[in-house]
Amino acid sequence: MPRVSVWMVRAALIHLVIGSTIGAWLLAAKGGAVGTADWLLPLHAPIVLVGWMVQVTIGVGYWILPRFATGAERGSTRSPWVIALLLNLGVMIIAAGHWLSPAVTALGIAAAGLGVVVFVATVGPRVKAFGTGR
Amino acid sequence: MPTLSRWFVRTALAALLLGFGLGAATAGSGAGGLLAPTVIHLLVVGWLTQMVFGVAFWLFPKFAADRPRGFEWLGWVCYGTLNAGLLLRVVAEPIATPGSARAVALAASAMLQLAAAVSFAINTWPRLKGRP
Repeated sequence: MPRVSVWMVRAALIHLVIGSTIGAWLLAAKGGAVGTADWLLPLHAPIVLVGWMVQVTIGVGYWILPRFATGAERGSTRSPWVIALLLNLGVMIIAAGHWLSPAVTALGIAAAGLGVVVFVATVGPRVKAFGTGR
Repeated sequence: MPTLSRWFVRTALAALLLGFGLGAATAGSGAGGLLAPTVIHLLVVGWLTQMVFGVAFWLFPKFAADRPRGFEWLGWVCYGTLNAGLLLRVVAEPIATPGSARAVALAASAMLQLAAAVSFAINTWPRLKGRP
């Protein structure tokens, strides 16, 4: 597993545990077992969906999709680090935006979205039949 | 594919069917709104997350030659707590009337699902081995 995938899956696991902790509180609060914390609700979805689901999929995808026969076997080695940075910064900025302003939330979404675009551009050429292409 | 992964993936497929079925059966009705959080979590936790858990347990780098998938019992704890928690949620969340039984069930569901996430993270973390 390439080092960048290791770091992305580790970061995804951290998001999974944080997002699940928030989700557990929200669910327990729904039944009345603990005090309500509605302010946590807007944090739950981006942490779990982007920080966990999208990031684990991208980390594993970069690792496991077919490799190039010539040159760098997984294409650019720099762009996956950029993707990891954009995704994790994006989630943090989205979270901060709920206290700061909707414009900050939009900035976070744009950062995470840019990470997704870079991922598509990076692995797109690797989506090929084994033995074909470069 | 290891036995535990087969159980994860089979149960994920069942959650996919149940989530879509429940969503389709209640779409456009008052029950649809009430069941929306349950349906979303059936799909995101029961289907997507559980599928990732099952495939990761199977395909991630080996922990050690004599214990390739880490602590397998921890994987079963993850499977059991995830699905017990989700089942409790599916049963208790749509109950509209608040009460102590619902409160206990939802709190237990919350703790079980959190335990699943933590046990997966603990078992998976040492298997993440990189190379330059």
